[in-house]
Amino acid sequence: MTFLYRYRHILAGLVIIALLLAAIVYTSSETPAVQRVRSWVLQVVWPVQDLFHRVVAVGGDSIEFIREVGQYRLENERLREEIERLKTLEVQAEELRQENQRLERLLEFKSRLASDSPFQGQAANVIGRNPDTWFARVQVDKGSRDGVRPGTPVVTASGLVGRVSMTEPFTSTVLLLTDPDSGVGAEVQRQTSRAGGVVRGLGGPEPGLVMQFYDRDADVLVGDRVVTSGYGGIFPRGLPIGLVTEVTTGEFGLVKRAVIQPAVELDRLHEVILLLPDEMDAPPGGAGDGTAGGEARP
Amino acid sequence: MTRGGIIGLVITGWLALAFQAGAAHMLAVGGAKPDFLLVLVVLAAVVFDWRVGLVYGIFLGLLQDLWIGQYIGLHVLSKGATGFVVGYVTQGIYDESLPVPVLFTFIATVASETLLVLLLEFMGAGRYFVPANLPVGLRAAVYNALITLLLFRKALAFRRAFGREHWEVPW
Repeated sequence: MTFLYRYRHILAGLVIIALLLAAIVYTSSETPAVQRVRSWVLQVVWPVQDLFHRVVAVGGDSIEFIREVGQYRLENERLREEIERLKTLEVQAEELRQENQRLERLLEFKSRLASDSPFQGQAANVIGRNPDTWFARVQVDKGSRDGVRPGTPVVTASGLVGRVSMTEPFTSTVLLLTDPDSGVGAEVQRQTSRAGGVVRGLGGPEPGLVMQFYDRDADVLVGDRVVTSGYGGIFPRGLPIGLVTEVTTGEFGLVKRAVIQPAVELDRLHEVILLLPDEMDAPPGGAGDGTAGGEARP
Repeated sequence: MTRGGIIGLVITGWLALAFQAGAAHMLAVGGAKPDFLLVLVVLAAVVFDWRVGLVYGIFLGLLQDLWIGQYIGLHVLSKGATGFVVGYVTQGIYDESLPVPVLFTFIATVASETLLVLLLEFMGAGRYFVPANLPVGLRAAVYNALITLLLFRKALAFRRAFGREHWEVPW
């Protein structure tokens, strides 16, 4: 009895543990009595539990929302940068595509030229343009070191561009057809008419071309194609200059003129071909050889 | 402990159970969710004594068991034992030192969870006693310790308000 009294706490503890273990075993499966008590507990706990759940959920959602907003902002920024990058790439790709087309045409023209003309084509890039609006001149990246000389014809696959007016060792200045100082011997290219004249540039902000015919009765019609006559020896014969858009007669009916739409888009030049003589010892005529544009009727 | 203190502990336990059941899972980090009931038991045991720890552990364990509705006695045993052991071991230690409850919460979490798992294994109620659960258990222990860190000053304030000088647990 003394033993029991002495260790009553330990014994009580052991008894409690044993009872708890028994309870655990007994309630390991759902029992109606326990469920009833559980129902009471849940009813007491549930309202506050639900409140906590909502509060923490709202807090969690808010934190998640803030985090997502931050993420979306970063994502948005990244996507914007990506769009800008892609736009740049697209522009570059389009630029390359157009350049490729132009070069293909030039190459085709160059190979055609090589077979049936005394000239050899030298491709050049347009690297500058006349800074004012009154003259129509461009600068190309080929100069005297490349065999370019004043008077060298300059063309594209579409037709005549002009001629070289000045050369530097590494660059040249090209006088465009539309420059007021330009003049090219030309003729109408039609089965029934080879009316000849000189095509001059008008210069100014809206540069154009005018062909002044040698003969006041020249047979020319709107829509006729005008090509180089080749008489002056500077330009090869048959290079397209443009199309006649209007035919006029001078004030006293002494001259006949035609407004020409250039075959080449001269304000959008990127690459050109310089027509160098096949033999370097046969230079083309220089600028200002006595007639406008250096070409005269034979 | 005063009568108000007992009522305060009961209400706190009730709120803790509600929070544990309603919101603790939303605060889980890496699979480890905090056990506010265990934290309260440890705090009660450290701040008061082993008797309060034991009774409070049994009370909160019983609430938890009843909430679950099965294996009644499982949490009573684990939390009661935790309250008793923590209260017993920390008696005589300067109990306003912050590291004491934090450390004991960490140890108590590991011990309590281990005891629970062993009991469940004993009951054949699951296969929780696997090494994969160890990291989660340790994270939960750290989590509980951090909560203890936050609540310890409040627990001391609670003791000052409803301290043992007014009313002792009757054994």
